[in-house]
Amino acid sequence: MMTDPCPRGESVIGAARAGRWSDELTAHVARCDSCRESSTAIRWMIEFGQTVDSAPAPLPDPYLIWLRARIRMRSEDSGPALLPIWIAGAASAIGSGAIVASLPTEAWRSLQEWLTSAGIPGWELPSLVSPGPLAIAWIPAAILLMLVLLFTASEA
Amino acid sequence: MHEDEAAFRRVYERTAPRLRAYLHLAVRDSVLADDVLQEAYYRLLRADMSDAAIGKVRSYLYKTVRTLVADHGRRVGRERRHRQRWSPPVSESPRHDLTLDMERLFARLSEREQMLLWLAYVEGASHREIAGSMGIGENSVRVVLYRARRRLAGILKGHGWGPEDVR
Repeated sequence: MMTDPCPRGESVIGAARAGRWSDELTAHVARCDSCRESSTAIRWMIEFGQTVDSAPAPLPDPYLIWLRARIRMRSEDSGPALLPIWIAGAASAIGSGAIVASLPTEAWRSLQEWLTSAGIPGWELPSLVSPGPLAIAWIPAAILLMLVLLFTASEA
Repeated sequence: MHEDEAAFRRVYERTAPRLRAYLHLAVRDSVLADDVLQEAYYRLLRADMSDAAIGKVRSYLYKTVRTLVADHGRRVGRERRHRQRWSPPVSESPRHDLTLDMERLFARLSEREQMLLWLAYVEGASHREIAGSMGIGENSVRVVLYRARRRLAGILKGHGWGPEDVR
């Protein structure tokens, strides 16, 4: 482990930081390589800091920093809180989609019954919705539509 | 003004100028420095250190900044670009364009040495604060600072900065 070999090292560091040198320490630094290195490095760093301080770059407005942070915190905090609402919305969209999907089937069946009861002969409507493949496609399409409506509305 | 905002403003005014200056030296990009600054203060507010002493807050900020800069460096290979950009030799006269020369010399230190020396001798941070910022034991601070000082002294000597050149 490499440490300061000079027992006066800490005194020299203190003097360099404070900028106050006793004659005795000054004389010591003149003949001690380790303390001279420390003293040079510390005084250079202090001067560097003063140089940087003397020409400060414009700082971002603290209000904007604070405001952006607050907005982000609220946004992140609201995520978990909105999860139950999101789940309820998705469940209701799926339910509504299923109901909407069943409507054409029911309407088609009612139309067929009405035509039959009206005594219109020869009317044999094609099995458009049920139980053909169109019905299978219609149900997920309706659910998807409801989900799109739900999330479009929530974004708005 | 909101009470939180007023408290934040006080902390910001005490910590931001030098933190921003350090960041600018570390990343050499004003926009990136401001982005990192924003993120550091966001994390500070998140950490809710409103009752902490200023030294602890500063230590937290520098630790955060160090992590963010390192993450950024890993993402874009900052070190490589940084060295390429700063490879031109320092001017022969040590007093020519003082700030730029000092920045160039400072850039020759490693990121760790830069932060150590900055915290110790520009911020005037205690060994405890430095240990907190650097993620090292308090007892190690003296040793690593000694090494960093020697390294800086070597760089200064190599570029004609002797004890007489420093006020």
